Amino acid sequence: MEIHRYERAWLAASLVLIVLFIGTVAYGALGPSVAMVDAEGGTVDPAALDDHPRFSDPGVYQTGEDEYAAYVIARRFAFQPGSTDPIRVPEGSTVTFYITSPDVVHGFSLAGTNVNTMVLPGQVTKVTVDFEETGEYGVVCHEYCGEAHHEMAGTLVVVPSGEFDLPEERDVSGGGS
Amino acid sequence: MSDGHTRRALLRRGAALGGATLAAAGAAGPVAGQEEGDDEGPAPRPDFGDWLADVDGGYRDARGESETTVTVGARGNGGTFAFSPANLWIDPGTTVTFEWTSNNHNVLPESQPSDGGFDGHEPIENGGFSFKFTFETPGMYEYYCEPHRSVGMLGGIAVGNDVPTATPTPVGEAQQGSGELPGGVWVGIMAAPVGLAGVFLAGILASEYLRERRERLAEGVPQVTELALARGRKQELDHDGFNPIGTAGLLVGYFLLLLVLWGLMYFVQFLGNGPTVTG
Repeated sequence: MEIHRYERAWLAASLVLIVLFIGTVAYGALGPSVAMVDAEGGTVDPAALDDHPRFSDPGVYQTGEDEYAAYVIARRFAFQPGSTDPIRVPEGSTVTFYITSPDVVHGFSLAGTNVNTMVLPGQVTKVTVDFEETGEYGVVCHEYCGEAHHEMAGTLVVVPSGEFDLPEERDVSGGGS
Repeated sequence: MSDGHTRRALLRRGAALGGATLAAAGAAGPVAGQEEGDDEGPAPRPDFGDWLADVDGGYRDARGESETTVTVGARGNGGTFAFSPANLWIDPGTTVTFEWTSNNHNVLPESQPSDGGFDGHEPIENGGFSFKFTFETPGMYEYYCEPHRSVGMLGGIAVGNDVPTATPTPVGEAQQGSGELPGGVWVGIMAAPVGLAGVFLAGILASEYLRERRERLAEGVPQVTELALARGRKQELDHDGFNPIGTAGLLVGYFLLLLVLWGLMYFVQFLGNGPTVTG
């Protein structure tokens, strides 16, 4: 079979391109600074969130120097906190989100970023995010959850570290910061 | 709102039925009570301004009653996200029972008189729960359900006679008013395809005319393509002698485009997008 040299060239080029694309996907899954969400967060009784030590008073807790835990309840049709009061975290912090739902499946997505996960009743979704710069992000639910799903949104604000103030009882880092 | 419809429909069907039927129809509506007590048109009701604009739940005048009930999680606002009645008028000293009829609601005050003392009920409760509050201080109380505030689960309670009131616009007039602007838009939408069809028709007619003109010019004149064939030279090429430079150029262009899009998609859109999940 005779193959024209031009054809040989572009067949080779397309094979290289395919390898490149597959490599990109593999890098995205395994490479640095990108992680997948797994079941590490554990489970919780969706009917008894009020008895949970953290979900009973959801919000941001300090767990170490520049390390925070943000407990968020996604319910029809609000993020708590997030919708009425924004989730506030300081810049330069590493925030681990613990998100769960007492009712149906929701989504938790910081609009325009790669922070994007499902929220399941009974399951705690645990994702860790580094917030290097100040800014404001929209939080949206992207799993259809009912009549007012389109209204289910909130805000996350990354404030300058000097302006961030947490009540003392929410500092659970042990031994102070 | 449906109350108004019921009433109007009945009015149209026959005034001969008399006042007794009308009174029964009023009581059968979802918001029973003294709404629009007579046939002279709606009575003034407490005016909460924008707070209760476009909010379902209805209105009830419970002045003269020592106890009344607000349903938390009644049907409305696109689900079970209404306070019913949303707009309640009571006398000072009236005890209001907030009764949950659906899940995941709470009651939080938005504004109230300085010594109103109404704290609502912040924990989120499910159907079957209820709490009572006695409104002693006259004035306007605005409250909401925190999880469903964005849907319009808002309510207001006016205490005493010294409150701002407004007479609601009859349903019919409001509908006519809001129907006018969309009407114009619809005419525009329907006119657009007609205009588009006109453009196409003009194009077809023009090309038809040009084709006829070309044929007329061609008559009697030797065909240009035949002339070209007659003059053309033939040349034998072996397999690698022919270089499809045009095709190669096109493919190189495609490859470059793919590479550029790949770079944008992956490194700018995905990796370059601020915070990312790291654990």
